[in-house]
Amino acid sequence: MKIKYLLPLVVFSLCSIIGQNLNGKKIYINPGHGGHDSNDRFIEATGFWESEGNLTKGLYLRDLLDSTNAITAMSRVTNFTADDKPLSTIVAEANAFGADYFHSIHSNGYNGQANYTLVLFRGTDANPANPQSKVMGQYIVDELYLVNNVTAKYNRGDYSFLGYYLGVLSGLNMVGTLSEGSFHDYIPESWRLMNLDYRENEANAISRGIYKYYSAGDKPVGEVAGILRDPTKTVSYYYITSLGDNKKPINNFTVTLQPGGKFYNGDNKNNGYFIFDSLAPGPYKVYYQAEGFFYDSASVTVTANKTVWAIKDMAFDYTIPPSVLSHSPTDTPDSIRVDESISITFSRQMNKTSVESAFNITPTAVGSFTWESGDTKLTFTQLDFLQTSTIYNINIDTTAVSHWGYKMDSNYTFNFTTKSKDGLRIISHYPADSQQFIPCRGQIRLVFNSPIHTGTLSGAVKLLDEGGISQSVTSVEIYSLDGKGYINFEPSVPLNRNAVYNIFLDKKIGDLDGYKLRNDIEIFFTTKAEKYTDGFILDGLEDIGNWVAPSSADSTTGVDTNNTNFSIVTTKKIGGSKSGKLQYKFHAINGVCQIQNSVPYEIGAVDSSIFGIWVFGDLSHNILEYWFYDNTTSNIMKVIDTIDWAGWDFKYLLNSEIGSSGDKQFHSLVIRQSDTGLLNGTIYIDNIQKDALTNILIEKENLIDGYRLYQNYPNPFNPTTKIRYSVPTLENKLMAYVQIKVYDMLGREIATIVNEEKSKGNYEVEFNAKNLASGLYFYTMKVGNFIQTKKMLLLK
Amino acid sequence: MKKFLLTCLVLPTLVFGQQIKIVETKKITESGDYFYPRFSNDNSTLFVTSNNYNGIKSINLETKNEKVINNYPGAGYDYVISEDGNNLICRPYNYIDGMKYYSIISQNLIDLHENILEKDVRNLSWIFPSKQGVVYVKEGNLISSEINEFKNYNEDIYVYWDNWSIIIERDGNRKEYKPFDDAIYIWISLSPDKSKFLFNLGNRGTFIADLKGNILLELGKDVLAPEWSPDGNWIIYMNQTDDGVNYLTSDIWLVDANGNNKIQLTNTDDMLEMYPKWSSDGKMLTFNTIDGDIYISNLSFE
Repeated sequence: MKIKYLLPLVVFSLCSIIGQNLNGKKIYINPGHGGHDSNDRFIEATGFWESEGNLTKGLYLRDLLDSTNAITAMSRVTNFTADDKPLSTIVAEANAFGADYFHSIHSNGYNGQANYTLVLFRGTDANPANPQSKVMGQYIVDELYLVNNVTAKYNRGDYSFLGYYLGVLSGLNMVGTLSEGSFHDYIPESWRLMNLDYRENEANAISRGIYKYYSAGDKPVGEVAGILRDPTKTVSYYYITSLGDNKKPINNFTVTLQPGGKFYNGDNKNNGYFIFDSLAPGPYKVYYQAEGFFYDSASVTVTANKTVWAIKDMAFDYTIPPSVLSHSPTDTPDSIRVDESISITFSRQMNKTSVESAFNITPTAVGSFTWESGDTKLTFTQLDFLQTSTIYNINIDTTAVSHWGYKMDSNYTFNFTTKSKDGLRIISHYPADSQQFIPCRGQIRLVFNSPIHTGTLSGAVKLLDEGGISQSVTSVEIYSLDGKGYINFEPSVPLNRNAVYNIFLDKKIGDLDGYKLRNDIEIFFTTKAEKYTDGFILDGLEDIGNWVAPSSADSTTGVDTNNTNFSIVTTKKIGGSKSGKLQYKFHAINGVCQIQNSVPYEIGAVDSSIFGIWVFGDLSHNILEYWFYDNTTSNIMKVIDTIDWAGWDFKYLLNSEIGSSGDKQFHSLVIRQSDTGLLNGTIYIDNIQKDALTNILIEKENLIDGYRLYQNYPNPFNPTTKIRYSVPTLENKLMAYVQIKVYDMLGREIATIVNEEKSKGNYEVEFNAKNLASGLYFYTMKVGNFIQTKKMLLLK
Repeated sequence: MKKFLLTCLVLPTLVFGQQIKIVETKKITESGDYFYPRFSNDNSTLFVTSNNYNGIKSINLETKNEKVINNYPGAGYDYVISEDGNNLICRPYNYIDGMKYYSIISQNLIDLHENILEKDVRNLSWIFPSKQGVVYVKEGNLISSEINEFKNYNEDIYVYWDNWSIIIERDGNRKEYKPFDDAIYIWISLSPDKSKFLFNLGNRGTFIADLKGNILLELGKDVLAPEWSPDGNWIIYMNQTDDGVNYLTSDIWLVDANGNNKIQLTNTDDMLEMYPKWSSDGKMLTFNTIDGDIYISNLSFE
């Protein structure tokens, strides 16, 4: 038979059980569950499987009973799923075996916050199906309570306790019980159950209950068990204080027992448990030794047939100098990512200020410190990415002291080298930060230094209005080109005029290599104040009409005709269902790309008439020109703008600005390649018109309906950041007295950054924190009764 | 009480060209501690016991009258009815010094007169009916009691578990058979024609073997508490699932004696049907639920 788990069976020595005799009693043992499958119970935090715990206890119990002349049978001796028998066969086996007693071994689980011992028998508390089952249960629960670190004990009828009958106790033709020794989902107990000796002593307790029930004699020897804990540290999981489980168990200790010189080496499974067995009754001295703690001892008196507890809270040896136990990144052949944080784990609680002062990174990197694990682990997180392909040196000098003021014996230093791959950055964007006069129908363009992982974008890119309300967007384009990542989108409806908007990029945005933005990014911009009203539409660009291809136009020159064309498309439009798309490519600078209408449009001679075209800009920084004929058909070329916008904008001029007099005709739109412009691009045009109306939105300021204090940007910052605020139209006066002050976390005033009268309008002020320490600060705007406070984070 | 879903129990099935279905199911008992029912030889009566086999009652299927046969601990486990149907022979136990000691008591089913055949024997197991009395295993030996005359029995075929083996006794020859290993083999039963037998090993499943010990058929791990039909053509069994502590599902199934077809007879969501038994004419089934209720189902063969 294959044994899946070779369990170390340490049977209590025969000398310890002299006098105990079960005289051929037939006992059937059922270690519950089995096989790491769906009916098993697993505690991820500790790695404990109930099937394993039950089997270990069952095998120990079998060996104990066999050594005292019982005849035993077990429902399983392995932990294969295939050997996990149906309940009906387990019960049938026990009956066929003619067992005098049946016992099912389990550990309990509920909500992770209970830990008591429970023994169940079939029936109700007052009316057990077999009264002897209740008697047996009491013996066993009394013994289990003495060896497991639990809060209470219960010997109950299954129907009374559960409200139904247990299947495993159904159909037994003998005395039968089920024990739940303790709760495996209570994490301190789960760690104890990871100690095989703890399980063994539970089996020992069950056997002791059986011996007492049968009056089969007592063991002439006893045990000393204990738990070593650090009273200065609290565990991170749920605990029951009355069990002492708030205090962190100590690993890898040594306990020695005198006389006899027995020693026990504690495991590393966070239980601090030890036990000495087969001890003759009498006085003993227990000596406790654990690294970092003062040597200690206790006196105990061993009683026959009983486990005596010798739990010890160890005294921390604060005089030991601190040392570094580990660090990361480690010196490995592979270089280190530029977004890697630096962690250093110390042997004991540290004085944080001293360590942060003693920390030195070369080349210099600005970042922040965080502490965890009881101030034993320091993590330094850089505000920006580390430099690429750079050897960094970290040094902690001996001014770093422990919480108790003891210095490190020597400096601690280590190096690592960063990879050549940079972290994810945004390298350009439109609009630029704080850019004004952005078209209300503009297009947002974001360019990253790496292709973006689209799976990281959900909810990570937002266009926010002044109130922080997310705006609906459309025409989203996400693509990569030449090793860069691009994200373009447009607002679904035109943005408000003369309004501040914020493009918010969450730092969860990542590239294909798993690098993420180092911080959240906010890009503020202000829209144009102009309002446009369509005039007489000369051409809605719904069909190609009399437009001549650029290659056939009179003045086109220096273009790559294979990659230059003009067509009518449906993908973008201002009015109707289509627009004109001009895709162009120049051979070199000073090229001219003309789209010409062979039947020019009459635009009249009224000086105040506005002629304009909706143009979807491509940020090419080439020159946009409109060409006209005057009344003598002489050509007039008018520079309209540098194409430094993206998205739709209305580009116009007054008839009077065209020059000349008399009726004029519009015949061409021209892209002229500039010194600083791109060689290729794509624009769209729509709704060529005359007699359009525009007005600067002077009244926009009236839309400021109250004082506003906006979130600073960037945030976090180092060392400067900008703070925007608004002053509304004022009643009965022209100016308001505005104060903006900065405070630290303790409420101390740090700086006054605005302290003067302001008229209505939007303002921005820069705050420089070069003399301040990293941390959280508050800034407050106060105007009359208006007070508003926001937080900002300085990371150096 | 859980509502019984009769329609779910009526599952027509086809075996050997026959359509087999449950045409009617009756609940025999009100809620209570009724378990492991079996028919009397003439099918007029059900014998039931408690969950832990304490005592035996009879229930007249016509009048529904209940009669206590006895209240002995363990009497309801492994008892038999004599072939003439007049006597019930059971094997109750007494705990002495924490150990079970068994007796064999024969009771007249008319006047309940008791005849104690054995008294407080430690190793006493497996009772089989014989023409004029009973055969049982005492201290590893097959003993026949016929009209109070005890003798070693060597005139028939018996199969049972003892000494971690299956024991095949055939005309006085004893053979220890261990198909897999030293183990507790359960639910051992001889076919009606006494040519083969069923057995189960908990982690292996249910098998059919011939009297030489050759395994003829592996019926599977889902075949639990199997029982031959009176004509030996079918085996009825329960198919249960559990979570290691509690039963989750249990239904009654049929498989033909060649193991070719497994047919589900019950399929209820709110009831766990367990431990089915045939009537002697093979036209009825009786079973108990996990909650201790007794049912009888009439079968139709078309």
